[in-house]
Amino acid sequence: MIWSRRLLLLLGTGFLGSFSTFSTFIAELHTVLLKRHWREALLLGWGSLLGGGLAIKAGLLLGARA
Amino acid sequence: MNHHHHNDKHNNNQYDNQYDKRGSRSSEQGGKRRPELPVALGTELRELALVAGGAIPGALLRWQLEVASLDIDGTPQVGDVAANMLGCLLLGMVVGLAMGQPSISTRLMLWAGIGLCGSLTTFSGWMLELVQALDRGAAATSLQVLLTSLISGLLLLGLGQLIGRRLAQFRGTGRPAVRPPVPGQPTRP
Repeated sequence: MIWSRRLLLLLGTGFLGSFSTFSTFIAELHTVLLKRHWREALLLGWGSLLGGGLAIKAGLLLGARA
Repeated sequence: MNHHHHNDKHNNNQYDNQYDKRGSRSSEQGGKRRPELPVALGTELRELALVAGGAIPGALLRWQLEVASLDIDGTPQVGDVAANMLGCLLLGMVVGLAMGQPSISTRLMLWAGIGLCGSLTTFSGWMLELVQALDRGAAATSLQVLLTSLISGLLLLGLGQLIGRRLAQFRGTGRPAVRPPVPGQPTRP
């Protein structure tokens, strides 16, 4: 499946890997933790993890159907 | 003067007013000279070039780390984790440097912060790894990857920030200028 390899490189590694960022998420988390805004830190951490996890799950299911 | 009519008619339009404020004088010059590039467009192009100039090497570096990880481990995941950790250290350094060097902070943030680190690190790859480990029934692995990435990411970001602040200090325009002098102590040259 040469197409899926190319698609993975272009959309997966190139576009989506660059589009989504880990470092800014950690920087924001670092900032709210240093300010001792625990509620915001919890909301940011759990919100991102839950939202990201559910979105990946939904994407995997949609991709498997196509 | 016929084609001025179009511009005059829309002069009260908010967009036109904004456009004029941003530096375009094309509506006053008729058709004889080519309309100048609005100042804002030049700025936007420069900003775009800065972000793209950081994003391309960032994505290529992550790709190469994934390739190396495929060779060693058989999966691209170790490469993604390495890219994320390196990106956290770098972003910390950028933030630390920008705090000490206000004159270059905007350009540095665009090129290195948004472009390079934003592109080098990936949240979606991380999420995919966590969810796939859960789907395999390896909940312990998923939790391990989650916690180590979070904790090392935060620590590396803090470390990077310290290094960045030191670098700004080393360049002479950093913290000594910001920090108020301590009474009774000789100020450093």
